[in-house]
Amino acid sequence: MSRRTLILLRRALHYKSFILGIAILLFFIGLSIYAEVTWPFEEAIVLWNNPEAWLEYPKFAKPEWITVFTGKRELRGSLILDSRVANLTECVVEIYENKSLTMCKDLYKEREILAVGNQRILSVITEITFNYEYDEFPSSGKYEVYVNTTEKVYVDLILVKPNGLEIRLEGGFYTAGTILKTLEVKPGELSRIQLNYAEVVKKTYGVDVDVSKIEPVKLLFIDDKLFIEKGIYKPLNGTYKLVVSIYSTDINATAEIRVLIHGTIYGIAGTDRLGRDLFMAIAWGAPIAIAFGLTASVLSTLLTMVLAAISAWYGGVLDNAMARINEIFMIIPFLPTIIMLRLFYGLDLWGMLWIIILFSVWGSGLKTMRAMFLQIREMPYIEAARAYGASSARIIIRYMVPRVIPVLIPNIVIAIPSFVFLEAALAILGVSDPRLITWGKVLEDAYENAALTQGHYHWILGPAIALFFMAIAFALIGFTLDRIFNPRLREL
Amino acid sequence: MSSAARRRREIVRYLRFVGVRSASVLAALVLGMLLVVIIANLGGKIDQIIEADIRFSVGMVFQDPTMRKQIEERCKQECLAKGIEEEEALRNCIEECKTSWVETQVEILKRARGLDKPFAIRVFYYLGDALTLNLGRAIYMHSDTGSSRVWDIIIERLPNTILLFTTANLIIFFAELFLGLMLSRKYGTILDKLAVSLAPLSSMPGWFYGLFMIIIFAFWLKILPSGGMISPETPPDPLLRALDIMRHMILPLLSWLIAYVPIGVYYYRTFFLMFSTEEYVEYARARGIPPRIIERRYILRPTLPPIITTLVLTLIGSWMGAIITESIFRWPGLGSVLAEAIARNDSPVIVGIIAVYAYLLAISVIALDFIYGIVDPRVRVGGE
Repeated sequence: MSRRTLILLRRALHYKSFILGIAILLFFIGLSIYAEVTWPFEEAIVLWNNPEAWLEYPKFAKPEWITVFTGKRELRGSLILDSRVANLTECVVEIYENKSLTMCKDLYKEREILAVGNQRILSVITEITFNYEYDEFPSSGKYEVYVNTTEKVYVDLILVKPNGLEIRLEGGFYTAGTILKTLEVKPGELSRIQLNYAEVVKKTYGVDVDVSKIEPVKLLFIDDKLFIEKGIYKPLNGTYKLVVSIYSTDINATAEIRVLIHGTIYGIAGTDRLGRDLFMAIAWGAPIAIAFGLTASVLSTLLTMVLAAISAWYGGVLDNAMARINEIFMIIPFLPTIIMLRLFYGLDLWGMLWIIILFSVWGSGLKTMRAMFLQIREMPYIEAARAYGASSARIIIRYMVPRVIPVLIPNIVIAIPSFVFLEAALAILGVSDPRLITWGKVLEDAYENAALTQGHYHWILGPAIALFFMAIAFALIGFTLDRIFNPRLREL
Repeated sequence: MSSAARRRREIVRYLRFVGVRSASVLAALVLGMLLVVIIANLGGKIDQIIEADIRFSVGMVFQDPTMRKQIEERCKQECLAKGIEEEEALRNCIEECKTSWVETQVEILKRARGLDKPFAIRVFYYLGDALTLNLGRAIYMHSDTGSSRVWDIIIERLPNTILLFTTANLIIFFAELFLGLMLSRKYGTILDKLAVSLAPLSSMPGWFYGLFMIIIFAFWLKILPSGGMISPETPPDPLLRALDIMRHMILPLLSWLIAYVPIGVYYYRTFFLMFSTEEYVEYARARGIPPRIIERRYILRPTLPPIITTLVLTLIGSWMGAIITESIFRWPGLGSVLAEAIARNDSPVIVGIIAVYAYLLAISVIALDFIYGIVDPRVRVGGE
């Protein structure tokens, strides 16, 4: 039988659809290996479920390759401006009596102790320059000021745009520690940046502008002339300078700043609402989908076969009992019952797998297979086996089961996607495994957070396309195997 | 034997067959429900549901002002009899007496519903509740009319589910049958090959295509609604409302068509091709019977029983797949109720939906047997 199977499998290679299916499947297996190598399983789960780990990533970023089609220049990932980690090797440091200067390529830091009356005041001025040469606004941003002192400090944060316009982000007294501000603003509220922008524009251009409808981060990068004169929102390209001035009575204080400007594109698959790299989810979804689908399909089909063989061979009371049990399982609604079990007993994905297998064994598949075995049972060679005194177990395993293998193998392959989609369906209903990374869970997260109405199509399309190709791969392989193993179909 | 007598015997056989099958399915329903009840109550969930229901009905007594006054008055008398006269203490005493009254009432009702009985017996009380569709009250959810009874919540949404998915299944069924028959006539043509190569599309479920449909038609082309059943701004005119509901049905129907028609067409095409190579069909052809009649009498007639089985099986299956399609399209049917119950962890609703689905499945199976008995005389003869 195994020789025959091998010959048949070799014949499958003549079918383009089979090769295409295998190629897609190999791609997913490669992806699984890549996922396991890049982010080992436990690490991946911890990383994925820890929002803190993704703070530096832009939220809702589109996939990078999208710019090939739009032709737009967009900021990839996040622009991180950190006064601590600036490239200090290229710096020139000059130290005077009351003053120290650090001059680097894009960082300028001036630390000075001023005498005001009889009081000595520390002033630290940090200037960070960066280029913004993109066609799209940054998606958002945040900044952190770290002041190491026990006393009050005055912090002044100004962004100087390429056209010389100065917008104040921050200004005021703070008690020591970290000041963390995001550039996002709640709907209906006006941030300091928006108010300051209106003020600066009024002073410079003498016009009143309505800033309530533009996010602060956009105002920081907007082309002011176009906005004021034509009402067009476009980012202003050029060199920006961020000036942070800190004044403190504690002359030993240190002050550092870190600014994050989040872009609009990232990676192969983009990011989600927490800035998580969707490619990681897509890569890790592959092995989980394959493992889940394959286990469920193989085990449930094999169990069905065993039950059908026993039922058909022994007949009588056993057969009758099996038919009644089958009827019960046909009446218990599959999906709601799994959901109930998951909610009441908190099963994980593998726990649900066993329940799903238990349910899938029964149903019309068992009936068809039983009918098949009934036919085989009446065949002369079985009679011959019985005549030479073969045991029931031997007849079932050695003579009956091999006869249904050709029907079984294509069925197993064709059924795999249905189990993958079952997991996705459960995920969409919110009853999947709470920890694992599956395509269905990404879909659910996207759907829950209105990804479509917000226009974050990549969030849904990424996992959806992965699901699509996996289903197609198994379907192509399964249909080809079906044609080869069941020649009656091949002729048609 | 006269034809009338034969006919009578036929009918008796049919009725016996239907009776036996119905009894068998109903037994399966009872056993299945028992299984569900046992599994659900292993963690004591149903006990909680029943107790919550009892507490609700006892609490309702206080909603009735005359009843409340009566109880408060009785409590006051009791407290005064104990010799408590100071105002603060009296109020506390009355409150305590009220709570203890509620507790005794709850205890009495719990005993009446069998909650004090051991697990094995309690399960049968619950089985009775489930079979009589006495499903208790939801914890958080309400029907649109404001009732918190699980039955009301479910029955309100059931027509919507039936409307969408019966339409879908009927369209799919006839499309498959028609296209399959047509392709079996055109075996080997490009059209036939195309249809065969489309079959793998059916390895994906309807709700999955729904995602793409929504993106394309609702968000990209903006020509169809992304979900829901009726737009809120639609005037109350019944014709306009019907048209609006139909507009909302287009995308779910389309996604189901893409998902389920290709495999069906492939299946029927092969099925009809196999039958059309049977010897008796060849003989009919040789006799010069026109192809239309051959199709109707020699191919369709003998294939009718399996076709009808497939129809009813898809109708049964549609209750399941509908759950996710409904949540994707926010269609206000039974599936949406289940999705909401999951989101709010409303266990009575979940158990209630299982009971209702089990009934629907049992009814479908019995209906299948009824039809089967009519179209396939063999089943009547065999008794099974």
